[in-house]
This record gives sequence, C-alpha cells and structure tokens, in this order.
Amino acid sequence: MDQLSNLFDGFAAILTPSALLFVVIGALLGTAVGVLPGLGSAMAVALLLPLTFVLEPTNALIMFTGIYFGGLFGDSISGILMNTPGNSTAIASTFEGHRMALDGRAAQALATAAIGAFLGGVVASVLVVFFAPALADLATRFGPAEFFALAVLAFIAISAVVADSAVRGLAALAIGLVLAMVGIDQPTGTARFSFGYPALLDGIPIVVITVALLALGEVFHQAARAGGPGDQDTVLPSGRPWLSRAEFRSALPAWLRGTAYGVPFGVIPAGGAEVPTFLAYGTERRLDRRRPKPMFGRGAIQGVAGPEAAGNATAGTAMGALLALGLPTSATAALLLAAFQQYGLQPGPLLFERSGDIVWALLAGFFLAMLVLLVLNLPFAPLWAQLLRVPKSYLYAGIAVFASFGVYAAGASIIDLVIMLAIGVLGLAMRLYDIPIAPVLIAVILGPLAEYSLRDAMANSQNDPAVLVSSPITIVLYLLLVLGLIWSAWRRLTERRRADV
Amino acid sequence: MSEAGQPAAGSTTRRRPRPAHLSAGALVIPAFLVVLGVFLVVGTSTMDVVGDAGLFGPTVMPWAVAVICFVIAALLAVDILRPRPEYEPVFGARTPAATGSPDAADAAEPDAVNATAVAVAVGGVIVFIAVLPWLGWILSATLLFTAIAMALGNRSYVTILLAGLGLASVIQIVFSGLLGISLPAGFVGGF
Repeated sequence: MDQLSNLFDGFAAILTPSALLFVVIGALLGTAVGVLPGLGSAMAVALLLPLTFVLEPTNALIMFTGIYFGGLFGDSISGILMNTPGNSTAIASTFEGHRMALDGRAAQALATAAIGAFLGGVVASVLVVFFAPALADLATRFGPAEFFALAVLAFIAISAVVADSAVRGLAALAIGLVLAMVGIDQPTGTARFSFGYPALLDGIPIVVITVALLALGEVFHQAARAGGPGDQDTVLPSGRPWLSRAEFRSALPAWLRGTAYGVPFGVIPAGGAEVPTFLAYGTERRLDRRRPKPMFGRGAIQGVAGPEAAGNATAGTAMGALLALGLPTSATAALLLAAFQQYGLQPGPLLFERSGDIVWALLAGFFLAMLVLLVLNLPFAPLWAQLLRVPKSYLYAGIAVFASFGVYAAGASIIDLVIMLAIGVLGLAMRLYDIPIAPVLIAVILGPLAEYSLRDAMANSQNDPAVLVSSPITIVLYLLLVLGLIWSAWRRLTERRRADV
Repeated sequence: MSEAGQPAAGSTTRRRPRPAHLSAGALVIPAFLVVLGVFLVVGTSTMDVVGDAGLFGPTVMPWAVAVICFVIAALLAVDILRPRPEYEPVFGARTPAATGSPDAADAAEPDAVNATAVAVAVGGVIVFIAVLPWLGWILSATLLFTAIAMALGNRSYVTILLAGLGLASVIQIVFSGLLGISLPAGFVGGF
C-alpha cells in the first residue's frame, strides 16, 4: 500500500494554513467564475495562470484543482437557476435541474448537484490514487511511436468524436497545429515561421493563446450580442437546501450510475465530460419511463444526480490521465498542463518519480477541494446565485482588463498583446460560426509532442513507417481510435433518426 | 456550447433563415484556414533549415498541416454552402442584413451581430495596446475597462471610469506592489 502512505504524506504536506487557504480560494474563485454565464473553469484557470509566476508550485496547483472542481459545480448552478449552463458539460443536468427550480425545488436541485459532484469526484480520486502509479508505470514503456499514437488519439477524439461536427472540430485542430509550429524547431534549431521577429522565436506563449481565445474571445462575443434578446429570468432558490430521506434514496443509485459512466471517460482521451453526462442523462430517462410515476419532464431528481456525478467523475480521472500520461483530455486539463510546464514540471510517466511530493500533495488536494466545495456549496449555493446580478458590462470589462494584465505579465511584451488581440478576434469568429475552442488548445499543447515523437520514431527506425504500429500499446491505441469513430458515427445516425420521429 | 443555439430539424413547411454557422459570413473560417495554409507554404519554402535533418526534418509537419488546412477549408466551405431544404439559400434576399449592417442589431434576429459594439470593444483593446507604454498600466487599463463596458451598453460613464480606475489600481497594488510583477508605470511614474 505504497499509495496510501504516499497519500498520507501528501495530506501532511497540504494540511498547512497556507495550502488550506489556497484550496479555499481556488474553490471560491472556481465556483464564482463557473456561476457567471458564459464563463467556465477553463477560463478561470486561464485568467489565473499568471499567478504561477509568483506562487510556489504546490500551492498554485492545489488552487487550480479547487478552481477546476469549483468551476464544474458553478456551471451547474447557473444551469439549474437560469437555464444557461456555464459549460457544455453542464447541459445534461440543466434539463431536469431547471425544471426542479421552476417547480420550487431549486435548493434541492443544487443540493443534489453538490452531493453528486462530491461523490463522483471522490470515487474518481480514489481510483486515481490507486491506479495512476500503475498507469504511469505502463507509460514508462512508452516510446516515440506510443506517444505519437496517444497524441493522434487525443486529436481525433476531441475534434471528430466529441465535437458536434467533425469538419468543424478538425478546422479548430488545424488552427491549433499552425499556432503550435511557430518558433524554434527543437531537434534542429531551425527558426520556423518567425519571419525575422526575434520575439516569435520562442513560439506563441500558451498563456497568450488560451487567454485570448477563452477570455478576450468571449468578451468580444458578448459585445457582438449586446442589445440582443434579453437575459432569462433567474429563479432564486428558496426552501430547504437538504434532501429528504426519500429524495436521497432515489438520487443515490443515479449518483452511482453517473459515477460509473464518468470514470472511464476521463481516462480514455475522449475529450471532456459531454459524452458521459449525456449518457448518464439518457440512462436515467430510460429507467424513469419504467417507473409507475415517471418524473422526467417535471423535474426528476435523478436527471440532476446522474449527469452531475458523471461530470465530476470524468474530471477526476481526467486529472489521473493528465498526471500519469501527460495527456490532457479537456480544455481545462490542457490549461493545467500549461501550469505544470510553467514550473518546468512535465506531467507524464516520470512525474511520479521526479516530483512525487508535488503529485501526492496534489492528489491529497483533490480530496480536500471536494470536501471544501461540499461544505461551501451545500448551504451557500443560494448566495452564489446573487453573483448573477452583477451587470454584464462590469463583468466583461473586468475580464478584459484581467486578460490583458495576464498576457502582459507573462512576457512584459507588447507583441504578446498584439497577438492576443488577433487571436481574440479569431475567438470571436469561432464563437459566431460555431467552431469549437477546445481542439485548438489540445492541438497547441500536444502538437509539438506529436511532431517530435513522429520524427524521433522515424529517425530511430531508418524511416520505416511500420514502427508506428509495431508495439501492442500502439495497436490498442489505434483500435480505441477506430472504435471511437465507429461509435460516434453510430451515435450521429441514431440521433438523426430520433430527430425525425 | 453550440447545442443551445441548434435549431431542431424537421419541419419543412416554411424555410427558416440560415443559422449563423451556415451563413455566408461563416465563410470567414475556411478563408482563414486558406490564409494559414498559404502562410505555412510561404514560411516552409523560405525556411533556412539548420544542418541535415534527414527525411523527417523541420519542414515535414508544416507541409502536412498546410495540406490539412486546404482540405478542411474546402470541406468546411462545402458544408456551409451546401443547399439544405429546411433553410433559405445562402445568397438569398435576406443575407446582407445578417452580416452586420447597423439594422442587424434588431432584437428580432437572434443571430444578429452588433457590429458597432464589436468595433468599440476591439478598438478599445487596440488603443490600450498603443498607449500602454506611454500612459502606464493604471490609465490604460482604465481606458480599456471603460471601452468594453461602453461596448456592452453601459452608459453611466462616471461610474465605469471609477470602477475601471479602482480595478486597475488594485491590480497594480496587489501584483506589482506586493507580488513584484513589473507593469509599465508610464509618465505618471509610480502612481
């Protein structure tokens, strides 16, 4: 039980006043940003990345975990109360959650979401604690061919399998790949696409790309929508914020089923929690139809419990995949990877050996963050709703200032600000014309890994392409990819058929 | 994030206006991909490759991505332009209104783009970048805050200015004063 003693060491490391403070700050910030419409945990992490220049790594990473899980919960608060999910992962729990709110059961819906998030997150974290080291062990056997397969799997999964339209996802992926290639080519030292500007030799900083796409793009999009149709009414929660025994009994199996859906989707790089949350929602709806008194459509508690647990379970195991394989499976995980890189830490098989103390402190931080969020959110969810009253103009003006500050602080360079503006306008165009953002971030972060491992694999084998599919691990990864593509084609077909009915 | 705006397919009784992501304006994205592809082709063919990199040198990936850009641009353009029975044709009578003339801010049009507001917001960022080295962080950031709040329809100028000044000062004090991140001071010095 190495893992347990390591985990206890991790707890010992973070049970200090300063670490506790950062967990609480992260949970508060994440929830606050998640609650605000249009903002998700990815943007919260992006806006706060500059803090990594001043904070000590363990504290910063623990705070980002708090932001990650807090943001997920905040997304659901705005979904349940306003019918505007803060993120695509919160859509599934919004359907029944908002109906519960309209039915005068908003507080119970929020409590169901909070407990579901807690359960899903804790179960996923326990699995990560026990299996991440084994996964990392397996990954130490990864060579260039395996890493290339992993990157290809992540690219195709996030752009073709998860996105609504494969061609739009691939368009986003291509944009990200181009952005990632600017700068010095590491194996040879060749300057690529810098066109004589020394500032471009280091490439376009990830902080600039993410802040511009997520924050500035959203600010411009809000401007584009200004003066449009008015905002929805907010249902302010009332009533008891706890669940009756009967409610708890009907929600419990849904929480567990949701967790079971969420756990595998974080590990296999299928890009985010949209799929498991919708699978959990669909399952609960099917089960509900068989009950003597179906509740779906009138605010079914299971419709909140299942997707919510699935979402956080995915987020939890996604952190495991990030730490053990160095593989981000969602936009937020990609940003956390960027945060690790700011500290010169490379998530992946060697992280557990080289920086074990930080990893275990971080894993202990997961449990702490989940607990803090439960304590904060169960009784105080109604207070968060008050944030929805901040006028949008102040909110987005503040975000624009913070985004510019973050980009400037990262490099003290005006050129970075100009790049931020250009990519921000690109982010506006992508939002207006329905091009997903997440594939850009995944491509920017994994693009170099894919390219350099392909070239390594080729150089090591005298340019024999067979080396790419020569090991069992690569074959399994490509099989997963094919299965994912078949499954998504099947899903689209059945959805179309259902829409025709 | 796209699901919320997705119209339900099905009814063929009346042709609805095309949604934004299938309108002529959406061709901006394939056009941008073509620009990226050309950027890669120009940059790769003029690249000074250092040393002998073998068959898989620094130019392989750029060529491959350039091809991907052109292919995806073509596929996306087809996807946008292809006739769909449930929607109006791309180049119909109503199309000009959807791309951002002042009338397009009409509340009846859910996909309308408020072009004036976007211009004010983007212009605010441009001015911010231009004046930052001279005016310093606090004044430039106040300007940026004001421009964005105005773009989003806030007309109480004094309140915005004060709020922006407050936020910019807090950032300066916390991050520059306490945490030691350097911000341009401008002609007002340490203010």
